[in-house]
Amino acid sequence: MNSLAITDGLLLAVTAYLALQRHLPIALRLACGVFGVAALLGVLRFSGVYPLPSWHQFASMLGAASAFPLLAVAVLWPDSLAARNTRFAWIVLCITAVIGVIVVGVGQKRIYSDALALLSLLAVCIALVRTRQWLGALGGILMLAALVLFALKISAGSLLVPGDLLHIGMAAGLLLMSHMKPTETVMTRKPDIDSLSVVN
Amino acid sequence: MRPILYFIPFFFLLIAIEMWVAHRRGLKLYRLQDTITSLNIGMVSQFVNTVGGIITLLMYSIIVDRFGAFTWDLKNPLTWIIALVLYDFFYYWVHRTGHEVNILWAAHVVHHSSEEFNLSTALRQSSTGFYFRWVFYIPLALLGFPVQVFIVVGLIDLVYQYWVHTQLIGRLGFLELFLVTPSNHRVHHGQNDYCIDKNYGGILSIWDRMFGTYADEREDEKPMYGVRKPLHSWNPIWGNVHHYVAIYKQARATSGWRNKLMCFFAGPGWVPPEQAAHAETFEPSKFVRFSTPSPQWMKTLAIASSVVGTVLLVHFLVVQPNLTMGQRIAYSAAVMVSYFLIGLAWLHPKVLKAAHE
Repeated sequence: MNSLAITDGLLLAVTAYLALQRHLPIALRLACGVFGVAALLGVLRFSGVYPLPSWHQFASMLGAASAFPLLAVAVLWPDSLAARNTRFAWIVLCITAVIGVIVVGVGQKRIYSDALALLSLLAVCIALVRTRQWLGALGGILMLAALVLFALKISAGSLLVPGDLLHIGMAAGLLLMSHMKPTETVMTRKPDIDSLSVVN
Repeated sequence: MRPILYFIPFFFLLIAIEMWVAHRRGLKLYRLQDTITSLNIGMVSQFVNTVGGIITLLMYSIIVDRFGAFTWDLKNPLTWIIALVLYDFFYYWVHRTGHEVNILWAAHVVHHSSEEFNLSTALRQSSTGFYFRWVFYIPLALLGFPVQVFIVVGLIDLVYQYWVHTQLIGRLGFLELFLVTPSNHRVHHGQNDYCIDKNYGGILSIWDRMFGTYADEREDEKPMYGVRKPLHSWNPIWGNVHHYVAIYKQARATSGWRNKLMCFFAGPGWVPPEQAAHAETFEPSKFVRFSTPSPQWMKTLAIASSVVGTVLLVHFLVVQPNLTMGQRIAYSAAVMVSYFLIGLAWLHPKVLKAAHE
């Protein structure tokens, strides 16, 4: 058991808790689900209970390439179908995941997922600061900082390695972000899916 | 060499047997134009999939190599059984999304465009589905099933589905509980209300029962085959692209980004608000099967084109391992242009006029 297993466990607990919160936008919950899967695989890996390093790597890649953009969608366009409707949140997740698999998993261009995660968080922070949602903005900034520290391989003394900082920053950031006040449109506007009917 | 090559004689033999049995029972299950179109669409898909299939296999093998977690003993039958069951489970989702997301339905609709239901319908396969199907099988790659296992179980799943496209076999007792059978697959191809979005399974119907998409065939209401936005063409190329064109046109005519995106990602039955007033409702009693005049000379020409197409396909499948990608594309493109022109000719006003005379 090392510190990464513990901090991944913390991230797992937070993401599992948030993913089960029915009042949160589905896009946020789904993003938490993806981060949660990656964290679970991290716990199994770093605790030595059942290490599946390739799966952890894959899930982390999916988190960067698809869960961060989904998080950004939930914050930037809170009344969009992708943020509020399960079907469309899944579609955004699938499309971004497929692009991620092609570019990073197959094409080995890791910069794509790193840049996407960074840009998504940057957009989230700007949007939350502009709408004066300070708690959410603090969460976004924490996650952004954690991501930058991880990318630069900066550790906090001998106690916490860069991965730990990423896990802690993400857990704290997501928790804070889940407390942001929904905008008025989110509260009043229902997705326009009443006319959805499937034929053939 | 593609393994499907070995199944071609078997497919044709079973079609001949089905025709013969239907004839003996006094049933009219085949219409020449529909059958020829099904065969031509099947051939076009084989040409396209020699290239598209490579993309699928390439993606799959790279993901297995990089992220595959387990090593499987290929001599253990359990490996193959687990792989087949998992493949069938993911096939259920490929198939379900192929029906329930409009842009994916555009790829799959060609399989349902026949207004008949017989073994030739099974060959009416999509040429454009390869771009998304592989995605659903990524979990198999993550589990580490080698690419040869993926190919074999995929082939078993595909070939199994051939025999269920028949009206000659009735209900199969307890097998209906867990297997895809001709009876429950007839429901899948129906356009009656009770048939819509039902029975997506490939080999096992347990997935449909598990996820609430199972429906039994009704004795009092036999399925009416085809789709609610009919193809109205015998052109195999148009059959593959017509719904993409329809989505594009619908999106262009729709205002607002939200509704434009809905055109692509909502279900095929979704209608933009501004077009809702003009949307046609489906009336089963008014349904008329697509038909055009077909004098003897036209029938002969159609059969000849399919025979030539089959010969070319077999030749292509035999020689394609020695061809470069460019040569494969050129060969396939040449055949597809020929099919496109034949398809156009069938419905050309001058041809139709001559047929009337």
